[in-house]
Amino acid sequence: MITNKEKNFVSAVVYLHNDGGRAVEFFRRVTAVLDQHFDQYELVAVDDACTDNTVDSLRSWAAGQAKPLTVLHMSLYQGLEPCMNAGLDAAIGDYVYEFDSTAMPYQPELIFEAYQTALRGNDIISVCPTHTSGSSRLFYRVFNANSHSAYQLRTDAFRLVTRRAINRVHASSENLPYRKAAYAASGLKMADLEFEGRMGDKGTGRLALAADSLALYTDAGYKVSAGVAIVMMVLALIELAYTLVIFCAGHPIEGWTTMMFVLTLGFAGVFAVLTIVVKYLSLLVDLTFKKQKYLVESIEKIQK
Amino acid sequence: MPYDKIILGAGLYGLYAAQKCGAAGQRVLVLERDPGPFMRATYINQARVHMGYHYPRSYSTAIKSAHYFQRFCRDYGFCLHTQFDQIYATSAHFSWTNAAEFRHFCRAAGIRCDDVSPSRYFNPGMCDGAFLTTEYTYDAQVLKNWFLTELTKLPGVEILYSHRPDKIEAVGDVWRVTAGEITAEAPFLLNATYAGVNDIHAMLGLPSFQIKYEKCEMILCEVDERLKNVGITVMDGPFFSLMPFGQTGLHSLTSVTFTPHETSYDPVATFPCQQQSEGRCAPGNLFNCNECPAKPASAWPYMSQLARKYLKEEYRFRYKRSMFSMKPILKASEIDDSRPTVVRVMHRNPTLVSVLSGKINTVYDLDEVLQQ
Repeated sequence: MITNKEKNFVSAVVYLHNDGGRAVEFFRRVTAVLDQHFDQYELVAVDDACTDNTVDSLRSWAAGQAKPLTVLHMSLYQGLEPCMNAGLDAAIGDYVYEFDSTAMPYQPELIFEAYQTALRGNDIISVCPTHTSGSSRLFYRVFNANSHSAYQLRTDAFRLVTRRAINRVHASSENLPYRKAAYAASGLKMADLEFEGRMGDKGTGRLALAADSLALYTDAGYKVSAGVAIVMMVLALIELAYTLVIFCAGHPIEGWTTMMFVLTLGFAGVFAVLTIVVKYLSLLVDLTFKKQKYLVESIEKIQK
Repeated sequence: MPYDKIILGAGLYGLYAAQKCGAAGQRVLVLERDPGPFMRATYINQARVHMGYHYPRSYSTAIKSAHYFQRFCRDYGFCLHTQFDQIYATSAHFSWTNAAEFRHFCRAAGIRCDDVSPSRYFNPGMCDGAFLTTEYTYDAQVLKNWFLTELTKLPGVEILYSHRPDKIEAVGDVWRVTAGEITAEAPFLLNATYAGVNDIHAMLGLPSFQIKYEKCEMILCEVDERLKNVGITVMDGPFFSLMPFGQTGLHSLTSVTFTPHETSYDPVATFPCQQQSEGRCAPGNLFNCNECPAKPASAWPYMSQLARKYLKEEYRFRYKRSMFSMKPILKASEIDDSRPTVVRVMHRNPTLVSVLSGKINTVYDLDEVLQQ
């Protein structure tokens, strides 16, 4: 049989958490595109402790599919990033799609367009909506302003990454607390595709993730602590000048007030810096010692 | 014509028993449904002479394997390929074991386990440990020829190929077996049919072994110089193995998730493909999957993709051909992944012994029952 389909092996990793009927519909649309363009592909669904019928309906749908679906059952609810890391580790494709959500406010053809963009020498392709929420915009503004990457991060609907990019980010760090930033820092070529629309919110845990990402992938934390240190230094100098003035004016009893003032300010500053140091340390501990970064209960392979 | 023993199945276990009994002066008849010996499981598997590394979740299986390994190497050294580096690696993700556990396990089982750098063979982050081990591969064709030569020296042993038992019945103290044009009798029947074990039980109305059946594919590959003398096994979960296949110069590629194509949980193997076998295969009458017109499309794209995800790019391998066989797995083994050899006396006066084992070097487990 001669086909003009792509010979590269692709994987589609999809995050699921109580998506209900939307999950099957999403898989149906994705496989329609993949079937049309690819000879070989696999589907990987990460079941982040779904409590509704998401997995059951997916199972019965997959039983009739020619291509294999791997379902990773997470032991307990762990949120998007650890789950997608697990999905990435399970995927075997040369090109891996990361679908963080089963919402599809874009044309399915964009999925193949992302692949074509990759073939033009891009290792990471983000497909981004034109409209985003205010809080995301703020986060990305702070992030991009403080990161040294050549690429600007933005809200995206899904991503396509090459095996090369995955190997590269794993070579520098085994654990990826924030995949997107790790890719951007990988030094490989990134490209954005745009579509007219808006992406829904990705749920809880974003604030903590935003803080971790800023501390890990940008120098925002360092800048804050440096700022605090400079302010303290300036304050200390002013106090020194003040103390000298009082000393020269011949009212040394006044010095006691000054001393107290310096001490109070100094301690406040030290504590501020300590907060940041502690933040870094906790992240280091997490990265270094939490070997088992996610807990998988079982892996299930479904195919016709 | 009276025999001392009738053996069903001319795989390793069948021929081993035939040789053992024939050498003891017994009259033995071997019935094999395929046109030759060693056409199924004995040939179509990874050809691994197990040292125990495979069973980090079952110390008993591991220690027993290690024990029989030495004996097998002594007795059948001529069919082994020993001159290659057998690398066991523990996957960094989804593995039921890890580097530290594996080291600990090897120490407890008393088997060799030398650390090598995972980055020598694997892509970054894929494996947390890699170990140089001692394990060999056997060549089923060489072993087969040795057995056939040995057996011709034993006038008491007769092998009939393309003879499937049509009927087995107990007549007084003996079994009467009808296979095609022949009818033979013996007081002792050895059921060494592996995946067909329950087919024989069903024929006799005996209880089934609690097994599930996996229709398995093994792929033979040509490898580049760099892989020639290397065997790779990634443990312990949905991974793969790429190792020399006996003395053939080829490598066998298998994977835990893609090697089994379909599973049957019925007492006798029941698969939809049997309907396309043009009458060759049916539940209770298992044909040779490798010779069947209804064998499935190869899972090469998936297996090769999985292996390439782990292996560094310079370790290249190419598709040569696929081989299919039916693999029975004891249901009780699923959690600990143990592979006990089951030798069970199913009937007395006349005697029926059924054997089921997934490894060649545990063939010595037969010795005890053969002395009867």
